Amino acid sequence: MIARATGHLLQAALTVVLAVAGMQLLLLAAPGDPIDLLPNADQVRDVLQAQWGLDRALHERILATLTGDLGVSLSLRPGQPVWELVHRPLLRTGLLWLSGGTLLAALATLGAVSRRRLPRAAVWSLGALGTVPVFLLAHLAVGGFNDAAVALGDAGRHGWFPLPLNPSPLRTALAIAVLAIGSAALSDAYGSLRQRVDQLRDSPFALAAASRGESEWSWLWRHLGVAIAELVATRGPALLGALVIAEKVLLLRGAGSVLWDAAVARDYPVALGLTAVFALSVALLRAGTDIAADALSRGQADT
Amino acid sequence: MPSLRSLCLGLTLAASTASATPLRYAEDSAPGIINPLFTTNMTEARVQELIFDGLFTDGRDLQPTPRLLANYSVSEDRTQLTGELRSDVQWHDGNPLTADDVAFTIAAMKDPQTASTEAARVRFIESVEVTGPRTFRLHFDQPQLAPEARLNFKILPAHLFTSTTVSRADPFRQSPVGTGPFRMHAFGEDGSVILRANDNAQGVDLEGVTLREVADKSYQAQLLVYQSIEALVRVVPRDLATLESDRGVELYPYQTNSWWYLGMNQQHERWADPEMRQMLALMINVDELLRPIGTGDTITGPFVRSSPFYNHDVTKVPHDPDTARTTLASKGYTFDGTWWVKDGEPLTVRLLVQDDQEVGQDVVIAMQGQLQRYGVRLEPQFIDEASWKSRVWQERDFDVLLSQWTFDRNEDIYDQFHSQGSRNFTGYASEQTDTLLDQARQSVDPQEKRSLLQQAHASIAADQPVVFLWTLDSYAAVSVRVKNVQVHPFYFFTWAADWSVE
Repeated sequence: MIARATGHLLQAALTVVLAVAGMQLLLLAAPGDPIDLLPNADQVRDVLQAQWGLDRALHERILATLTGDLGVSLSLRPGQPVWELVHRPLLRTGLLWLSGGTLLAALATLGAVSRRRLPRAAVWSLGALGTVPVFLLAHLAVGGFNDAAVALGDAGRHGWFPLPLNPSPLRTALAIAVLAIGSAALSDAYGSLRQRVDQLRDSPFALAAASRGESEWSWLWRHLGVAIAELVATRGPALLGALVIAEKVLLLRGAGSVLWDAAVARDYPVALGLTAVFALSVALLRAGTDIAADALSRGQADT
Repeated sequence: MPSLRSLCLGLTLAASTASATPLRYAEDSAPGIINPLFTTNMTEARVQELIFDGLFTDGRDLQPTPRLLANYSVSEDRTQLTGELRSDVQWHDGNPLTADDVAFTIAAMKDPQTASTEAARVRFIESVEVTGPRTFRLHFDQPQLAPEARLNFKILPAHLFTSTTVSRADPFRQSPVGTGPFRMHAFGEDGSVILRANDNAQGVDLEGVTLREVADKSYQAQLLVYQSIEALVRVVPRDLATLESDRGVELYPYQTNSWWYLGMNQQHERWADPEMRQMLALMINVDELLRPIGTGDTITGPFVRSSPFYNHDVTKVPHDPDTARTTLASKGYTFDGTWWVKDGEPLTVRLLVQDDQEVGQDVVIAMQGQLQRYGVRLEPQFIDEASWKSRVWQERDFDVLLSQWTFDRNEDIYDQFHSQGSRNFTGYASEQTDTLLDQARQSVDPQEKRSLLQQAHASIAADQPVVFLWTLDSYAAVSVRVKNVQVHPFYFFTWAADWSVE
């Protein structure tokens, strides 16, 4: 058990190293650097290359990021420490991701364990809606609400879609909903959990438990726990990717949109710092869910 | 009497209500840094216009007007400017404006270790002599026709810096102190910039100005319609109809010194041949390309039509595909029924476009259709700004590019068309044009300069190093609640101190 957990953690560490190195190589391979974006790049290149550490060797830069030295922003907010720049957006993204993931897992689980099957029309509608990619779903939601507001005329001008960072429960709710539903997230999760539940209900030990008069929940939660852990491990990283897009469309200033801006502005320290945090989160999530799944499977074997 | 008092009170309240709301406007991207030494883009330049002042600014007639100067004189040989600063101007932190601030600003811009992006703007100033607490003399490297027009760079407070070597990371970047009509209140982590009216400035009607970053242009228009913001700096053509029909929004047309072109890389054998460049110009129907993307004027050379340097005698290249076909045949190309082919390869124009170029995609699609109609293949490639700067500016790695140039009032095209010009990406070289541009730079006689640049226009048009396309009409959109609006075509907020929000 301990050996397997150590293996998962080592795998997580390797993921982080590879992600940071990969991002660094991608940034270097992309044409242009942050100095190119300045109006008179030729005249300031020598001074800035030294000031910004762009003349440092590749391994030094990667090592610095991996050891927690995230440095300062070069072009997004010149001189501002990267952690200062990204910690709030990271928190915002983390909460959104958690909310979207929880909603997804809750809806899929509720649907899967329900004795009553969903009406065919509802399944079809959900499936059709779910096939729409997250970015398109978000755009459609924004367009729909705007059109509705226009239809209301002047009375509708209540600023439902306010400026970035202004509190907007509706916009946040939309982001969570499109994350949970879009890009086939919900239909896939529902499908796989439903199949698992159906298999479990038809299994001999389920029938035996039923004949003993035991409640279904006494054994179902344990098996379902493994399935949900697997779901989180596989769907979690995909949700993170979708979140980057949802943030851009819905003007939510999260880590995803900061990463996007940093890549466009060739702000290497910010892009690397965020990649390291994202990679660490995904790697720990996977390691955590794998360890949890191992523990639950072991529990099942014991019973 | 009580009724008169009530009336006065009412008027006072009405007046205070008129300025109670800050003006909120949207930009595509947040400013990274607010320090005039390191201006990178127009977003930053516009914010600086609100916070800082220059020695001169543009009057409503767009002529240079003293801003920080009480009086000044230019020497007879036009190599010196002597100035006295206004005594009633203070920095936002309460310190008085002094001649040391002027000397410091110019020294900091020129300091190689500062690596200022604005260094080129003060290169013509050889030295600064501080002659008193508020008086100074600028010495120029050569006679200046209109030094006032070049002295609109922003002045910085010397007392907030320890050396003329200023780092981009200096805390000033987030808490700038100027003398302008608005002072910094907050620079939010979301990129928003909140300014408040400068209490020391007279006649500022707005309570403040707030910049918000909204990356998507469509949302910007929606936010204006939904009254979440009061102003849009530039409306994209596709939103014009929507905003025009909204009774809560007023559109303000303004002319920018900006024009579009197709640049052909003359380091490539094909485009080094003037007849092939002419061929491409003949094949493209510029009017047809312009119609769907907005209104504007087609141009025949490197100036906007309203410019004094525009040569109206130069005739437009006609849309003449038949002559273009004859040229291709004479160059060894054969038409295989679909494409013009040479050495087994169809004639292909590889067009590089910046991906954030407004309406660029529409132009490319229309151009692709046009060229395909005449048997020429167009392969577009859209790239981001950093890739553009690297490939075009540094490596000259392109075949043909679609882009636009924007100029300030001086309309100096030297860098773009002189063989030694730093932005002559196409590799154009003409002795005649070089001579005309050199003479125009040195001329201190306005009439002579005008004549030389008009001749340069004709010379460049004859060589056709680029296909000159058009100038697009620009529109700002401002809520009808904002009064006394007049926008500056380049810096936008130059006269914002006179605006008010009801």
